[in-house]
Formats: sequence, C-alpha cells, structure tokens
Amino acid sequence: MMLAAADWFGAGDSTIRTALVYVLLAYGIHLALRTGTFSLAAVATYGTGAYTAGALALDGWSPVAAVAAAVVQAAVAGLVLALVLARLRNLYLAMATLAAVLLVHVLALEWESVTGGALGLLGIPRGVTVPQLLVIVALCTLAVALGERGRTGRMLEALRLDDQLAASVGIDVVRARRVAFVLSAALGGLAGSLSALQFSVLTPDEISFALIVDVLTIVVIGGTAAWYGPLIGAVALAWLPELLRWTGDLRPIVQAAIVVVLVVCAPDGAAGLIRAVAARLRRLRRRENGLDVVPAVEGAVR
Amino acid sequence: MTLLEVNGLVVRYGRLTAVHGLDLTVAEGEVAILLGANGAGKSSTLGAISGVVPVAAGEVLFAGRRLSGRPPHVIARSGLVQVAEGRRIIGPLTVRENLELGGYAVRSARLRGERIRMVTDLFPELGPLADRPGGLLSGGEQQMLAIGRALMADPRLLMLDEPSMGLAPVVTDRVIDAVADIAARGTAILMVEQNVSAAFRVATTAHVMERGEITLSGPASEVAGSPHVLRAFLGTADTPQVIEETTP
Amino acid sequence: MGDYLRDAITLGGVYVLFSLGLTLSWGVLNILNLAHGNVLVAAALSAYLLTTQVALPMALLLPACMLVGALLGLGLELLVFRPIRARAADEESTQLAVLIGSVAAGALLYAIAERITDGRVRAVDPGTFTVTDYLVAGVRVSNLQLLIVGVSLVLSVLLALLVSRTRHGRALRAIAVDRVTCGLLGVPTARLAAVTMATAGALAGAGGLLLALHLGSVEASMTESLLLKAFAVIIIGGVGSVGGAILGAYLLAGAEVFSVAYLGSGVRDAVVFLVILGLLLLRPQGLFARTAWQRS
Repeated sequence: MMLAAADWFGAGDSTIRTALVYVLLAYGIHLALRTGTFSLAAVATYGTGAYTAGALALDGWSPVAAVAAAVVQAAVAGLVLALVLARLRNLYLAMATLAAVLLVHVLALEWESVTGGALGLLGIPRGVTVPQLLVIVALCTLAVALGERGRTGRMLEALRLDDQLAASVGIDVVRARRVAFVLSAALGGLAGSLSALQFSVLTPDEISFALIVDVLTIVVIGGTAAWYGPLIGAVALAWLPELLRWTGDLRPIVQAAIVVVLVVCAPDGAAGLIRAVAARLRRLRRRENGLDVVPAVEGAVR
Repeated sequence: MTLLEVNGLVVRYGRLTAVHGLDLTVAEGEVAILLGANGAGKSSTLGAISGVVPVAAGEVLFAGRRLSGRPPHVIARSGLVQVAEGRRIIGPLTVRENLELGGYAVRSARLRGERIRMVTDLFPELGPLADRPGGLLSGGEQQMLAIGRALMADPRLLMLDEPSMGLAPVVTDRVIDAVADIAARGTAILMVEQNVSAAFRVATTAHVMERGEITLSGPASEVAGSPHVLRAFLGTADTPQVIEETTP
Repeated sequence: MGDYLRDAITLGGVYVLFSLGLTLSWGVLNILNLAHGNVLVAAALSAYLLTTQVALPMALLLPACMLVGALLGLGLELLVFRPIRARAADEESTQLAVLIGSVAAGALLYAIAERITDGRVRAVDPGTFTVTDYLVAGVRVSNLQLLIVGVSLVLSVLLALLVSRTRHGRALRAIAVDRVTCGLLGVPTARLAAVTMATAGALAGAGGLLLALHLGSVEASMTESLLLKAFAVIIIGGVGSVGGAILGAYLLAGAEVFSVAYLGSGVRDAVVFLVILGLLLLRPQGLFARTAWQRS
C-alpha cells in the first residue's frame, strides 16, 4: 500500500494535478447521482468554467477572481439548465445534459473570438499550485462527507430512493433537486476553472465525449455509495496508465475492457465494496457480543 | 388428477422470508382460493409459481413437469397462466392487440381469431371496444380484458390475483361469475381474493395462509364454516381491517 | 433548390439508419445505448478491412456490414446489458447502470477502432462500386445517393411494418410498456431484447457502410456529431416511434441543409441545438409522441 502510494506520487506532477481536478468534477456528478438525478451538467459547466476562467485570466484577472467568476457562471448556467430541464427525468435528463456537453464542445469550436476556436486558448497564466489544489479538494471532500451525514444525508437518501417517500417526510423535492443540480454545476465549473489555470493551454478537445468517459470511469471504479467513492475513483483513473504500462500499445483497449468488466461485475464500485465489508464486520462483531438484532429492516429497504 | 403441486416452497426478499415451506395442490377442474391477510404471502406464492418471483427453495410441479427455476414465458406456455394483480393492461395497445398479445405463443392467426371470438363470447362487453386503447377502459372492462387475455393462451390452470380489487360490487359479481364460467369449461382456477364472500361463491377448495404458511385447507364449504375463518376474514368478530381491505 | 432537396434526402437517409436503432432500443428496452455510434464505426471499419482484402460487390458488402452490426448489438446485450439488468435493484438504477455500461462498452469499441485505424482517417474504396452521376428531373444524382436513399427507405419501411403489423412487433410495443406482464403472457422477453439489440445493430451497420461510402473514409471518432443529430431526431419523433424517427430524420436534415444554404455553414449545429432546446421546452414528449394516457 505504501509502495503503491509512493509509485502514484512518483507518477508526475501533471498526473497529480489532473487527478485532483477530476476528484472535483467527479463530486459534481456524484452529487447529482446521490439525489437520484442522472445529470452530466457538471461536465458541461466544467467546459464553460474552464473557458470562463481561462479567458478572464488572459485578460489579466487574478486567479482567485477568475475562479470565482467561473464558479458563479457555472452555478447560473446550472440554475438555467435546472429550470429548462425541470420536467425531464432519467434517460431524458441524461440525454439532454449530454447534449449540453456536446453544445459546449461545439461552442468552443465555433465561438472563436472568445475561445480561440480549434486552437483553443494559449498561454493562460498558471495560477494554482498543487498545495492550493489539495486544500480545495480537501475542503470539498469534507463538505460532501459532512453533507452525507445526519439530516441532509437522510434527505439525500430519501430523494435517491423515492420521490413520494421524500415528499411524504416533508422534503421539498423540486427545490432540493434544483439545489443539488446547481451545486453539481458549480463544482463542475470549479473543476474546469482550476484545470484551465494549471495547464496554460485549453482546447475544445478537452470538453468532449472522452471527458464523459473519464468521469463515468471514476464513478464506476469508485462507486456512488459514499463520499470516498469519487476520491478512490479519481486516484485509480490517474494511476491506471502507470499500472498498465506493461500492456504497451494495447493499454487503451485493456483499460476500457477493465472498466466494462467492473461495470458488469462490480456495479457498486470500491465504495460499495467497502460498505459491504464494513457492514459484514459490524454484524460479525454484534453477533460475537450476542447482540444480534434481526436486521430485517435492512433487507426490506433493499 | 393433480395438476399443480407445490412442495416446500420458500420465497425470500433479501433477508425477509415471505413464504416458508408452503405445500399446495390444485387438481384438474378444481377452483381453489387462497385467503389470508395482507402480507400473508399470497401474491408471493402466485409469483413464485408463475416464475416472476425467484424460488429460494422447494419445487413447483405442473402436470408432472418441474417448472420452478424456469423463466415466466416458459411456464406460461406450458399452460399455467397468471392474471397479475392490478390487471396490467398494456395501455397504448388496443383491446384486440392486448388479446393478440395473450396469444403470442399461438402461431396461427386463424386460431388466435377463434380464441378472440371465444373471449368475446365470454365477455360480450369487450366486443364493441376492440379498437379502443386498453388504457381507456374502465376498471371492470380492464379486468375482463386481463382475464380474456390470459385465456388466449388456452391455459389448463388460470391463476388470478385479486380480480375484484378496486371494482364496484356489481362488477365484482360479474367477474366472479365469469370465473365460474371459465371453471365450468374445465379450466382449473387458483385465485387469491380479499373479497372472501364473493370468492366462496365459486370455490370448491379453500386454503388459508398466515405469515407465509398454509394453516388451514379443505373443501370450501368446510373452510367457510370454520370458526377460525369466520373470525379472521368474514368479519363476524372484531376485525375492522377486513372492511378496509374489501372496500379500498 | 433541387440540389438542396437531394442533399437533404441523402443526409436524412443516413440519419434515419442511425436514429432508428437508438430509438428502438430506448423505446422497447429503456436502453439509451451510447455505444450505438461505435457499432456504426465498427461496421464501417469492417467494410474498410474487407474491401482492402477482397473486391466485394455491394450485394455482399451491405449484408456483411449489417451482420457485423447485428453481432455487436447482440454482444452488447448478452455480455453487458443483460448481466447488469439481472442484478440491478429497480428500473431507475437499471437504466442508469445500463447507460454507464454502454459508455464503457463504447469506449472499448473506440479503443479498438483507434488501434485498427492507428488514429488516422482511412480511405474506403469498395473497388467494385464506382460513383456515377445521373440526371433526374434536372438534378444531378449519384448512384451512391440513390443507394443511401433506397436502403434507408427499404429498411425503415420494413421495420415500421414489423413493429406495427406482426405479433413480434406487437410484443415489442408491449415490452416497452410492461416487461413483467409480457413474460406472464408467454412472451420470451429476454430473447426479444436480444433480437431488438441485434436489429438496432444491423441498422447501424448499414448506416456505417453508407456513411463511409458517402464520406469516402472512416475514422474512429466519426459519430460524435451523429449522436447529437440522433438525439434531435428522437426528440422530434418521440422515443420508440419508428415513424417519428423517419419523419424527424428528414425534417432535421432538411432544416440543416436549407439553413446552411441560406444562412451559411456556421448555423449547421445551431439548428440542431435550437431544435433540441425548443422541443425540450415546449414538448418534451416529442412532436408525434403518444399522449399521456397511452404512456400510463
């Protein structure tokens, strides 16, 4: 384990930066999924946030102001999307937000005066260091982890399971979903703006279908069962190329195949696995202490 | 002759056991009713027999063939057809298309046509509605369509899950009469019904389920007269919940 | 004017072949198959691989590509979608898991396609098929354009007839509404799901071949823009509607061709997004969709 961690940190500065940015983007998707909303809006605002921050930084804005502006822009975009798509659920919502991602890609290509067209934005001043990034990721992780406890945690769970159930215990379902949608979009914008301020180059190719594949890979590997899922997923995604170096030219194929196998065989991801193991351990301990309460309720909820 | 034989049936949902060790037989020509309070495991039993609910243990034999573990469509094609609770009419399909769907396994269009005529003889109400989308029918019409649709497969045993649910008393009588007609033509019936008095009008055999087990079985007349049933289901004693169940 | 009409009809033909499979798997099985475009690419690639080896006549090449598409569709269903469906808890989480599964499977197909093409654009030349132009009512029309229109017309009409007239089609429409009840009525739902995915794949296979011939080339990423067009088509036509998809494909192609002709090429994608956005706002169930009671 220690060796693996050392390996990972040896993987290079840019890998670490990418992984940290992906953690934030994955939290954006995670937040939506936790409320039972299948929205890729965070990927779309990742794109708009990146271009907003990149263009403003090129105009001489300070990094903090550029990131703040990008997050506000992303949140507003999220609110607009939430209002426009309010009536859509499930596959319809997935399709509409996917279309939004593709729209951002097309905009990045076509709106040359702002985005630089196919060449993208060049020479964006670098304004975020790895320690700063680590702090931001830690804060967001803490916020998500706290949000999954107590009252809001129960609210999220109710929303994910059943709208009627949620409404019956006094949750304003429409409003709660809208809030989650906006927060998800804001997180996407934050991730995008931080990415733009690190790599000095931003091209339309960064906001394409491949980004969706990466994000969903994180979701698959990490799982959505708990706050540490996206963390594990993003680290694993960044680490995979290193881990699969021995496959040579075949690496992209092997990596994609691994993800397919995981989707089919381990749908709950690492977080699901950890939770299942923890639950089993708890039960064992309880049994040893002779306190085996019949866990029928758990079974009924499943 | 025994048509359906269920031995030691167990149904589980996660760690929750809905049916434990149920034995049941239905003979040819028999009209068996399965009674019990909500949550006694009646629907789980029917679901396990028809294959939509997994069988955790035990076996289901139909006409001597082992059916447990087979997929629902194979079970339906072997002559054991269930009319699901809540009728489950395919709303966008017309009445005729719903009936045709019930005869999916029948390759000959001519034979399907004959069966449709047989169904509309039994339920003349459906005749003029043939081209209307099933979703627009009234509750009673939908129940007749659901039963007619099941008959399209020419079942040897027809299972009904609460056919009277949500129907007005007059319509309930109409449906129960139809069940009697179907039985008179030689089709065996296994019916779950909350409206106990209606069910006893047609039943030859009755089984009482409590907490996942059969606690009482026998000829309908005997079971109907047993103090146990009178107390628990017919509301002669202080059992207000029965009233709720029969008039939802 | 005639030229524009010809272009719109040709483009519409490609859109139809691509969108039909997508709307079919969504409408019948609740699968939003994002690997659908990769199936199309795989078929186009197999045309490229086949034609570099042997000179196949069109009468063999088209069935071969459709077969490749059908096998891939079948593989997706049996190896990815069915196992996911078997373990998922409820309908909503199943749809989500299957969607993610399709993205993963699509990424795998994409990686393989990238390897075969070496990341480059590959020229497709069947050798046995030379493009020649004819004059039809004063408009120059190539035999390739006629082929595209003919194949898409024949396949879509066949599919429409299959769905509306046969007992299998009736079963497919019923599965779309209530899979469990269909099983209780003796309909082999698992087998029909496999048939549906194979059919969708075969349609994409035909589309892949014709698109490759139309462009004269194939590359791994040629479908991303097509996916967006298919979304627009499905939104116009309503999910699961064969007739709606056909109409939607030609409407969209017409809107694109004529707006590009009169407003310039920059508006091409704008038109697609306007269609998607407008319909999502005004009529999310599609222009030709079933009304509320039919979906109940």
